[in-house]
Amino acid sequence: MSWAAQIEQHSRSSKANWLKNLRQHALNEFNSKGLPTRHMEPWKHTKLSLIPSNPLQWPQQKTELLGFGLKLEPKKILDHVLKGLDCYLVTFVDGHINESLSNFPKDQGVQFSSIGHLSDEDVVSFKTKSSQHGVHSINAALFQTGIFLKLDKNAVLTKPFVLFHLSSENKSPTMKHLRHFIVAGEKSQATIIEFHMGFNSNDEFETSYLNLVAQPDSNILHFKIQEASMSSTHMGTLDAKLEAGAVLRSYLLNWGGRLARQEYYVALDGKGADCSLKGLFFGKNEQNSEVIIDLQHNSSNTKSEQNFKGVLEDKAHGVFYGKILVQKDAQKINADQSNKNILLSDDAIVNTRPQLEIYADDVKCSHGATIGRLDEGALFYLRSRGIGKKEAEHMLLLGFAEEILIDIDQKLIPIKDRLHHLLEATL
Amino acid sequence: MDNLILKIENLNVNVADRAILNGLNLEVRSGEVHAIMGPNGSGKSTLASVLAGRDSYTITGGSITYMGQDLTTMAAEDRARNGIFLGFQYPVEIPGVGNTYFLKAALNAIRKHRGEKELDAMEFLKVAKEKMKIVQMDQKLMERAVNQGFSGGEKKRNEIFQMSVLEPRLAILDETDSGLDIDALRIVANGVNSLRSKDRAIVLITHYQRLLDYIVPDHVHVLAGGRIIKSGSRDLASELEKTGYEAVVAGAGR
Repeated sequence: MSWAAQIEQHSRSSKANWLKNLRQHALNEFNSKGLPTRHMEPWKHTKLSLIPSNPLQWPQQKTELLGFGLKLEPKKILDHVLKGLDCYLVTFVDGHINESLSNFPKDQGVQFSSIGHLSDEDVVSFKTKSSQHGVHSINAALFQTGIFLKLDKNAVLTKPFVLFHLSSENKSPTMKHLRHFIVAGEKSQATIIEFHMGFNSNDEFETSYLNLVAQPDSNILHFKIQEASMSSTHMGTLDAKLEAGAVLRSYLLNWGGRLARQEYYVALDGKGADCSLKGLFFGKNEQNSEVIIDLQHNSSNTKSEQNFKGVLEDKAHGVFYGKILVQKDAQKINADQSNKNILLSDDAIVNTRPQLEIYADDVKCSHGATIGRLDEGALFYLRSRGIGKKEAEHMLLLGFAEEILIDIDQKLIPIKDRLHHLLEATL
Repeated sequence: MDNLILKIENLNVNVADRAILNGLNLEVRSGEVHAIMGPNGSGKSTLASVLAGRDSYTITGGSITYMGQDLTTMAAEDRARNGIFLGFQYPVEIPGVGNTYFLKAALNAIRKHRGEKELDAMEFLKVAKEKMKIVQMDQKLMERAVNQGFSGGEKKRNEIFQMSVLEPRLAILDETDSGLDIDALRIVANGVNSLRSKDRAIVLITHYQRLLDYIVPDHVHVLAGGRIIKSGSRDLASELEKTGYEAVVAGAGR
């Protein structure tokens, strides 16, 4: 079956109107755009052969999580990776919510449900956007499940909310598509953590789309920790709309996957909206690790910061594509962008491309990109104090990477520890 | 002689095919303080870097013997573990690497090599606090990244502080006085003086005599054109100050 046929079949079977519309729209979009091609600028350097040209099978719904030929216990994995983090939790195994391993949010003024239970009224805040490309159409048309979270005015999510996505071992190539919707009402606050972990040694195609509407003066802290399996193509998206005075702080660790791409679409629509995106992307062996940003200053007094660092070794390939658009009438804008990369081998590659489109005059905008090796002077300094070469390199890399994580709140120590652990193990 | 720490014989060193050191000879004994002075470009900093094991230099002739061992084949970290310390002219800023973390790792690498027990965080902090007094170092600097955002004086103090923690047998201090105001110079010099010991040798590399008013050397050498052209007592330094390097270089009959 082709993607178009699969999408068409799916769009007809949906019941709720909003879903039917979303799927129908995605079908039309897919029919006009198709899968990404090399001629599309943000896909120019992507290894497109790692995006399946036809749909893969849906994974079987399982009662257990398999990996490395063993039966794994999600609870133990969770305890291991999020040591003692007091959190709300939704655990997905192969794209299905596992209720017994979840702890749904239940604060005052907080509504939570799975996508399947959404009514047409619930989704009124989400305008059906034009998909950016065919992979988004696939996600919109085919997503199996996801969550809906709505915070009322002044509501506070009292615990970090973890979306824990696990991939089990499958015998044949599989795909899964998830879509989450979050509406943060006026002056509400929440911490959202997207966690992806894979134990599948077979080919896998995963798309995961987080749709966020941050209403005036809301405050969202977001993490994405991507540890997909090395045979996985992982396509993640954060699609955020920030209204007046809303604040979004987001951190990424793009670690797993043979092709792992995280895209950001941020619209600073309201006056004084403020967004910072920070993250690390790694690659070893033949991994492809990509960060794509499309950030729009659509209103005055808005502020944005992008700070991404890449570490690539062996034959890995990194891509950073960061676009900042400042609209004509958006004045008093601050926008900073930085992408620094370290290549650890002669065969590692990184393509970095900042792109600024500024149509207003009162704008402070900076951007910088570097690609280099470890600093020889610093390496000699450490070695001259008795620190061995390997350890000195490790210290420098860790120092380079951890700068991104410095300002993470102390309350999120288990998350910080997890990130630190991955860095320790990788660098 | 058994208290001989360092013996350099007829050392020739190239940097990118250019000869920088041409037949340098030097002997340093335990307990001694040597000052190596010389005009700019005479090879002073090259000598310091070669002793510490920087890769970008090629030894084309001669030998360096440290505590009876051939130093030229030893990696930089092994030299440090065996008791060599280089005080940098320009200490390197290392963003993201904490000063405490770095120095603890360095001390433990050296202790491990000596067969001593590695220190845990608490034990290390106790040692560090004690040594900080030697150069009146602000404890806040320990919580920062290595040398990052330090003033010139703070960087030099940090070098001497590291020396005091690592307790080397042979310390080579490259232009430790450069960029210091008079108060900072006094603090750094006092620090160095307090680290003088019969088990330790110190080689001061300096352009000016000024430092030697505070740290009185046992021997003074003049380095010019890549070799030592004159050696003497501390009086040689005062003579240089009066007559300038040119007179000495000319007098050496080259």
